[in-house]
Amino acid sequence: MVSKILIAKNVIKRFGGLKAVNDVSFEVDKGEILGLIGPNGAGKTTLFNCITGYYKPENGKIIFKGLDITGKPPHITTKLGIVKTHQLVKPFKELTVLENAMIGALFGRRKGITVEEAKRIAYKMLETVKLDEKADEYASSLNIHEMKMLELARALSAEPELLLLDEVLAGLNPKEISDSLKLIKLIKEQMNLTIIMVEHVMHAVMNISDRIIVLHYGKKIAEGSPNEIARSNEVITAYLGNPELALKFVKKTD
Amino acid sequence: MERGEYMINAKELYRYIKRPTLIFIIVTIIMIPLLKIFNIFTTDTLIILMSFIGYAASLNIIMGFVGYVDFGHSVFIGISGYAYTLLIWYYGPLNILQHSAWGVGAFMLATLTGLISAFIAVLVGIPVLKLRGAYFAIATLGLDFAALYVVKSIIPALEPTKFMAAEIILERNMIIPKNYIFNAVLIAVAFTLLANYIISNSRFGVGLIAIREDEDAAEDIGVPTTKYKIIAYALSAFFTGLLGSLISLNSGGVNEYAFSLSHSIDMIVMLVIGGLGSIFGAMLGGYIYYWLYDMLLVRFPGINLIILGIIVAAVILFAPEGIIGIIKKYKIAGIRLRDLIE
Repeated sequence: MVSKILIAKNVIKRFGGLKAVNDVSFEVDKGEILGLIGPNGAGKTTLFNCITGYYKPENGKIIFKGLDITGKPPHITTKLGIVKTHQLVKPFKELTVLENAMIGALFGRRKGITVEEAKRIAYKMLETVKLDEKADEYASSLNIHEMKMLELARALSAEPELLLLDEVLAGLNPKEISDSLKLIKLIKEQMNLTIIMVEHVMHAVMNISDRIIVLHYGKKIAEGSPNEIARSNEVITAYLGNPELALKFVKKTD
Repeated sequence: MERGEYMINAKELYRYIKRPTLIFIIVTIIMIPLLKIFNIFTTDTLIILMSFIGYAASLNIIMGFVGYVDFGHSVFIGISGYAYTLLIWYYGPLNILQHSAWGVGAFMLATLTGLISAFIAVLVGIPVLKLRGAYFAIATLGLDFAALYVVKSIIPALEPTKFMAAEIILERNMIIPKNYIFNAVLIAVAFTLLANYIISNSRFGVGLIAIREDEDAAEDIGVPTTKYKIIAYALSAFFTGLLGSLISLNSGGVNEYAFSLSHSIDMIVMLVIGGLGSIFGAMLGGYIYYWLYDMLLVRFPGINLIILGIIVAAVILFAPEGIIGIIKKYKIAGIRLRDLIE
């Protein structure tokens, strides 16, 4: 139980007749980066929402650090140590950048935190994502990359153990992507995090993940190291398309 | 270096932040009795003015902080108004209580009826607060009408000879002196404003603002949104009921007008004019609305509401964040006014 931080067993989530997540089971080791890939509509975000408790799965169990958290609402899973960033950024627009991050700290894992402490943690996280110079500006004045970084800083301020990143790299330019990857590696080391990330930027996810899970129409079709995934026929037909291109992604990482 | 400087600045700023609001609240509460003593306004005028400020501030908790537009908030004026009137009608000891201690007794009795409103808000809030935006507004509107029809059928059945329709007119010995009512309303408004102040400075208040900005993100970052919304709704109902019951006492009884939609609209307009989510805004809005309403009624009788409507539309179009929203954007000596007034 110690090494497995998260265990999902036979998770099913339906929307009407559609099984958005269909009988998915997987385990996450403490300290790893797990990539979650698949075509649009494969159920990646839905799976995230089942883990945080935004949705209650119809079937299956989600166990975090040996504790059954199936269907527990997000504010409780956050206090236990699971925090998620949003695919479509959701900053508190009328508040400043610092206040945004402070809310993360005030309602995060640490109990009985004072405002001063929250401010310190929030400021430290803003430094980590290099937003400290904008601490006093309104969140609505940020550009998309900065908003994504703010989303990350707010999540980190809650001091999670398991961080769920939902397409933090989408819409960024190549330089911002490589910067973000470095940043993700850095915070993972610094804060002793376990990370699950949903991503479409293939070379990035192949590069950073220790392991990858592929979803297709809600089903898990493959699981393994980036190398294995790039060579799996099933994944290539379902998602990657061109086998040569698939191998190129992995080569880039070597 | 720059970073260090920022930290000191933020700390120093934080000491100043929010205090001005408290000072302003205290000054307001002291000012009102002075206005009465020096006969600048009549007692009646001040009671109504205070009730406007109090209503705006109480609605601010659910509409300003949480961002839920409540079109049926007058339901709590009605519920508490009827509860208060019926309690002193039927229970002699409570009548003695409300006559005691220069109005403190009346305030205590009003607190009790406020609690009844809060209890109903919790019961209703559990299902209704799951709705968002316009759906919530419509549901609250429905609540107001539902409560009105319940009252309309219960009251005449209680004592058919005495209660014509749903109207209860208090007997003379059940009404306390105007000065007592003034005191009780003053205490109620003071508590309403202080509650706003305490909420806006607490972790709870920060959570409410997070809900207003983005409810899903707030929940995901650890704010217990459902619980917080229900508490905020109950608090808002409590203070509205507290004031509403005293106002019904002030008018010597209660009738179905207490449930009138116009109270809800008044409260919303006050808040919108002043600025949502700010205590200054609620106070300013209450005052300005009272003044506008009175002025228009005297100067333009008959078309006063039309003009008021045009003014409100103009505010929404040109200053959607109210007067406070305009002030907030400016800085004085490097200090953002926003930090001073929130």
